Amino acid sequence: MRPKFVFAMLLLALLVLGAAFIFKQHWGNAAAPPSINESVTSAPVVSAAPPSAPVPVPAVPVSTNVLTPEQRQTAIDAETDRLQQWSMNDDPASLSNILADLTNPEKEIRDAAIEAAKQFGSTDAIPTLKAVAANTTDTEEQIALLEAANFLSLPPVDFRQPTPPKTQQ
Amino acid sequence: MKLTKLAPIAMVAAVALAYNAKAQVSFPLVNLTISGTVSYNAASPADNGKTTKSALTKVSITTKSLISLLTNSPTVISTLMDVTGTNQIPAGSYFVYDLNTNNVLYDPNFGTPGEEGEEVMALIVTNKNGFSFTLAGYDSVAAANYDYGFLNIDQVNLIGSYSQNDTTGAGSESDLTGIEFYFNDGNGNQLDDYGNGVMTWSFGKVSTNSVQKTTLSVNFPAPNGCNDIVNYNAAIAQNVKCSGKATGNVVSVVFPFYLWWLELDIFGY
Repeated sequence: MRPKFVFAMLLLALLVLGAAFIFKQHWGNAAAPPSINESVTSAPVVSAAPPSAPVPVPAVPVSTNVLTPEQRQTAIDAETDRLQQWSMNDDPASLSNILADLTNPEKEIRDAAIEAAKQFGSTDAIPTLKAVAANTTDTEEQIALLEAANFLSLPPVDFRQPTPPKTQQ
Repeated sequence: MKLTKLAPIAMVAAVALAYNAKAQVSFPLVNLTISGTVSYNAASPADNGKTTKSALTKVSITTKSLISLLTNSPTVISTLMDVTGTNQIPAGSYFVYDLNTNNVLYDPNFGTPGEEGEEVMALIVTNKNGFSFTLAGYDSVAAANYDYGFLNIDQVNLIGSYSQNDTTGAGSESDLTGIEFYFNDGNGNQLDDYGNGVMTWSFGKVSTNSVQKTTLSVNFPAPNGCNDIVNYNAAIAQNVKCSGKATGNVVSVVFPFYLWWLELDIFGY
């Protein structure tokens, strides 16, 4: 056998082994089973940049298939509690978290997210609310989303410069 | 002693027992979300020489905006200082609804506090760091009642349906009642709205120490604007809703709530 041929064969074999090693690492990680303790849906905190036009972020689903009804409800309650806390903040990350839950698989969480968006009180949420409404088949939810968008277009009841009284308290 | 003379004593004892029984039961605090809209005439009619026009201004109400009103009210801040020792409501504060606290706003015309007054259920501004300010009560520094808000359920017209497992004591209940939501920042903004509220209860099995894990959801729409004022202008509130949910351990005697409540309050009515 000629030395050039043997060298070429050895090189090819090395390449194949290297490729196999890389593939094994990649597929090994991808096939790792998800933890069954991971239940909720803590929506991802995204960058702190101003949410000029927030885009609906697909929410992480509640893994209902591995949870008991009680665990599932606990996970939902925990997420709705978080939504309520986020709604009282003023930071872009909280708004992004709220908007992410507009597409959560759990209706109770989606409803809480609509209310949280109203409570957060930012007009930045309006495009996302309308976009999610356009992609929702549930008519009641569509109405709730659009009502929330309209609600946010109103100025809040917050006055610093009183006008002359017209009624007596 | 004649029985007629005993009757007032019995009534007083019944009321005292009722209040005492309430005090022994601890309901979870409901983390409350409030939203709605209010319309009012912000400006006088304008005449351009051809037509005179007047328009309604519509504004939104949220938990955050109501707390902002309280924060910006010198009257509220003065009371806050007297009652809590601090002069500001911390950012991120929110409302909780407290079924446990029935503050009586004493009417000074009746003399000794405790003799007569209006019983109101507490709305509390609170946060995760221990701040707590009940919106109606007695300011001992100013020696006066204050009333910046409450959320009352009807003391008598409370009806319900329920189902309870005879063995475990677990079950569920849905109650209907009239509600009144009152908010006043003492600075020209007031909401006094009425509606029909729903209280939904879920009771777990009764434990050996006679308590059961209880979840209470309140859905209190108050669509009937009655005496609303925005920035000293007459106003009409629409779609005002107070809602929330809480879970905690409650003594089993409370289930069904509507019957327990009526048994207590019928004497005090």
